Amino acid sequence: MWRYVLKRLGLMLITTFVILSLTFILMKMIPFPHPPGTAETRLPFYMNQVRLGYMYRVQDPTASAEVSLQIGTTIYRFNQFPVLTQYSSWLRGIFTEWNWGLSTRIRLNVSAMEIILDRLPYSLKLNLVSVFIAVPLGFVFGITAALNKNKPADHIISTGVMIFISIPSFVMITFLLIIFAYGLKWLPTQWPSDNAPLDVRVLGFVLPVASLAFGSIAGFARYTRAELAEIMSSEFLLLARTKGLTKTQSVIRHALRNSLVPIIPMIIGEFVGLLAGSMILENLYGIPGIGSLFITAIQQKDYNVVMVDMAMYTMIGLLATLLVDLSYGIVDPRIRMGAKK
Amino acid sequence: MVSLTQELEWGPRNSMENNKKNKNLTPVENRDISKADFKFVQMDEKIHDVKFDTKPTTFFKDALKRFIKNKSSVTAGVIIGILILMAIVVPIANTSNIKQSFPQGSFLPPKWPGMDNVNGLNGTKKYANILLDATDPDNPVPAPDTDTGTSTFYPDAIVGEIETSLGYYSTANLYGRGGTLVLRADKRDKGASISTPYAFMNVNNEYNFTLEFDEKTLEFETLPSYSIVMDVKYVASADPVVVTLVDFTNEEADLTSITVTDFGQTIADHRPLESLLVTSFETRFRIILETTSSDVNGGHYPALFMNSFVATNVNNANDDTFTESGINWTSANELVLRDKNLTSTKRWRLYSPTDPLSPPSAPVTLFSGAKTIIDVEVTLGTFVYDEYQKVFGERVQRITKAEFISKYIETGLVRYDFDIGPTSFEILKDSSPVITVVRQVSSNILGKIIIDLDVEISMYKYYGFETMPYYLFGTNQRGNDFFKVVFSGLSTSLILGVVVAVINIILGMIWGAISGYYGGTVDLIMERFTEILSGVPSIVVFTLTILTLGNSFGVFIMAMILTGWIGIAARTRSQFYRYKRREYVLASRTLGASDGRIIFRHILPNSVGPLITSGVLMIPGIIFTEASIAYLNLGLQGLPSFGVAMSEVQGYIHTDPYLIVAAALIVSLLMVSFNLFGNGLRDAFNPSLKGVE
Repeated sequence: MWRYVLKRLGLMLITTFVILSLTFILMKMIPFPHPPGTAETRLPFYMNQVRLGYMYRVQDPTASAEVSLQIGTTIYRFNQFPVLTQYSSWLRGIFTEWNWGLSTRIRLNVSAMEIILDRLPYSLKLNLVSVFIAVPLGFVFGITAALNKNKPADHIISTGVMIFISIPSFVMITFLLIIFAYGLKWLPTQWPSDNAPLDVRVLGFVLPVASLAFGSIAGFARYTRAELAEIMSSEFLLLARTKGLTKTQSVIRHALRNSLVPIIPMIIGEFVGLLAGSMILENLYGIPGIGSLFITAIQQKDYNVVMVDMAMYTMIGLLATLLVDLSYGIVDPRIRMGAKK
Repeated sequence: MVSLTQELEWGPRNSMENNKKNKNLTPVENRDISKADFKFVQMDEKIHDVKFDTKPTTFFKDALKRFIKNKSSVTAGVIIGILILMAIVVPIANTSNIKQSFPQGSFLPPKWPGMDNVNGLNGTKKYANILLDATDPDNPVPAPDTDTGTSTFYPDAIVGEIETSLGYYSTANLYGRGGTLVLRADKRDKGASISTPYAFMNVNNEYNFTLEFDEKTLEFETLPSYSIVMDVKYVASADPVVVTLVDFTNEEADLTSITVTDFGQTIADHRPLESLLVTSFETRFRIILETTSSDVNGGHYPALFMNSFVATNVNNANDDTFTESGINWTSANELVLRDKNLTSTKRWRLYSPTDPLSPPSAPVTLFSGAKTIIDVEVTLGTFVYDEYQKVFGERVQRITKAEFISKYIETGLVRYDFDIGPTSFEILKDSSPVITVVRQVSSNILGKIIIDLDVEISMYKYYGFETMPYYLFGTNQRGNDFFKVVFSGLSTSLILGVVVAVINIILGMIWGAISGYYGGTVDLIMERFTEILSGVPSIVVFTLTILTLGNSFGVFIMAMILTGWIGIAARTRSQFYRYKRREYVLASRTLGASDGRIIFRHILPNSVGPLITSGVLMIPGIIFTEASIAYLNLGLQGLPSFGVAMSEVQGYIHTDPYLIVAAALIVSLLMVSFNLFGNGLRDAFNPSLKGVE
């Protein structure tokens, strides 16, 4: 099994590398975003570019230069290296000193990695809370629907699942905002800052968690219902019944455990899906997380931050895929043994 | 005998039926069956060449039959059909122009024909707490804007009655009444002082004054204390002398109202020697607030809340010196409004330490403080306002003779004789915006006679409409009919979805077929490639592509194809693995069929079910992705785009929620229907998967 893990890890690293390289080269094809501001504030940015190996100082006064700054009596002139040279410098920057570049627009001359790490906790908190709420609720709904198959409870839950799976999360939060925040005024309309009192902050969590969780609950409920319904008609459960166990006993002791098998990998998958999907949600509600950072960075063309953000999303996605595959192996011994399902 | 399985299948219905069955079983001997009841199906007949009685059916017909049985999928399909039909028909049938902006008609609420009584759908908006001009108490009207002189609300567009209520402003207002003047201690100085204009007093008269306080003064824990002094100019050219009338600095102040009688006498008593014989002096009042504590009530230091200040001449009731000079006031609102237009010497104003009129040797400490006004009573109104009437109703405007001639007479719309006047007005064509001429106005400017006309114009005709327009979803911020915008965008999104789905299916099918059929090394390499490509988050791919290549329709198609085929390829590959080991494939190969023939003729037709389902279910995903990209401000340009329409109106969710609600409802309906439809398709193509989703 460890060989499998190592092989997957290696593949993951290669994939990340390939993706980041592609991203880098594509980014460099976009027109270069020169930071705004005075010569003094811009100089550290260009000096950092030189240090990173993307640009070089043009010493020859007669040669043409892309950027020309004048501070006092000294004139600084810079030119860009060719893309491939920049690429190798970038790799060197990451592998030797973990320097991902400075932000140009969002917070001038602050390390891009720092900006992301500042905002990461908010997104993580939001998504973790959503997953914690969605998983048990989805599970319960799915079980209820499967046990009462084709009865009214099943129909209601299935219809609800159908509706909530289809509606995208940002449409859901629009509806919730209109009804609860602007209409009834029970909940705040924007994410409360850290200085607000605790009860307002807790209320501020309700809307985004609800809109993220509805989709997840629907997904979990549908999957659980399908799995449990299939298991309920399987033979080992029939044997349990024949043995003399009551319905409750047989369901709890045997059916539930088996239906859990696909759920655990799904949880990890949902977490990653939520992380990527909460981008628009964060933007609409004003949450300072990495999703809204991505949107802002793209709009303002702060490419260093966009790169780090993309790298982070890619790594999280691949890590999640790896975890999902591994957890399949852990939870289901049939896969671990290599047998066909 | 009933089987064990049947007996043990639980569920009350089943067990009850089993009980019934057991009761109805009769022993074999009691059954009435004779030999004549039996008939041979086939005896000595060769039936292997006889044609089937039943009709042959194809895979798709069979699937269709199963699909129709599923009611929710059929309903969903019908809804999708309706939406597609509307997406095709509405952009063509609806004649409003969505490319140009029409700012006068922006943010109109929805108006549905026939729904005039339903308040959300008849083109009206409710406005609450609008300042009213209540000079005529029976007929309050919305107050005009102080800048423009006219109100933003046209009285004829107000539907029904205006509900009035009283409100309290903290600024002086032309249409307000009453008010309380507040003298507040400045935190820095812990005191404040306010002075009145100067007035001439004759010491032979008996004067009284009364200062009324508001009960808010008593709301502080530590009450302020104050003194009232007069600055008297005994000698006209010298500095004023301060004469104290009331001094509460060391004792509890009277904070309800204070009346000082015969202060003329007090002034007279303080006359300096050189002015002993002068009887008339220029004087003014000064009210000094002192508070020694740092008690803060609601963030403010204690203050004096004054409701009126009236000084009178007891002997002569007609002496209006104090009123004329601006010392008296009974309404703080009037005081502040009046004082705005006066020079500083004629105003009630804050006493400043650098005041040139202040005595340099004044014994009181020189405080500054703050002067404000609160509790100005205004009438506020809540009413329902017909927005369509406001934009498209009839207006009276004044236009010049030249403009009238060129716009309406020369174009043959009206006939009018300037010499006869308004009675000669005649409409020649129904599309004429001018309805009547109210009056003809001649004015003499610099010797020339200028003729203007006041005309009543029907605004919808002026803007080029034939009748009052109906906007089913209202208008967006540019004044475009949102109904048409949404459905034009929807048609673009649907076309994008279908094109991308078809291309993805073709690409994925080819890839999956090759990868699945040949297996081995080829499969391994292709799998690795797919795995790497699928590791990239799709949002990353989209944003990169659109950033580098722009946001035209072709780029969108390309961006969605880049990673869209992977799912189909995986599905096809797994289908191929399922069918490739079947015996009929082996038989076909044995008979000499080529690879291509086996793939396209034998295996693919079996796998086409899940492929079509995936394809259909891809379309809502594409629409959703396009909307998401539009929210990132990278939306589709050049063609009407649903995502861009939706993201644009998202910002107006507070003031005009009907826009985003309409768009969100349409997209939700579309996606739910597509999902139900896709589920129905999947169950129809492969009934063994029914319930396992």
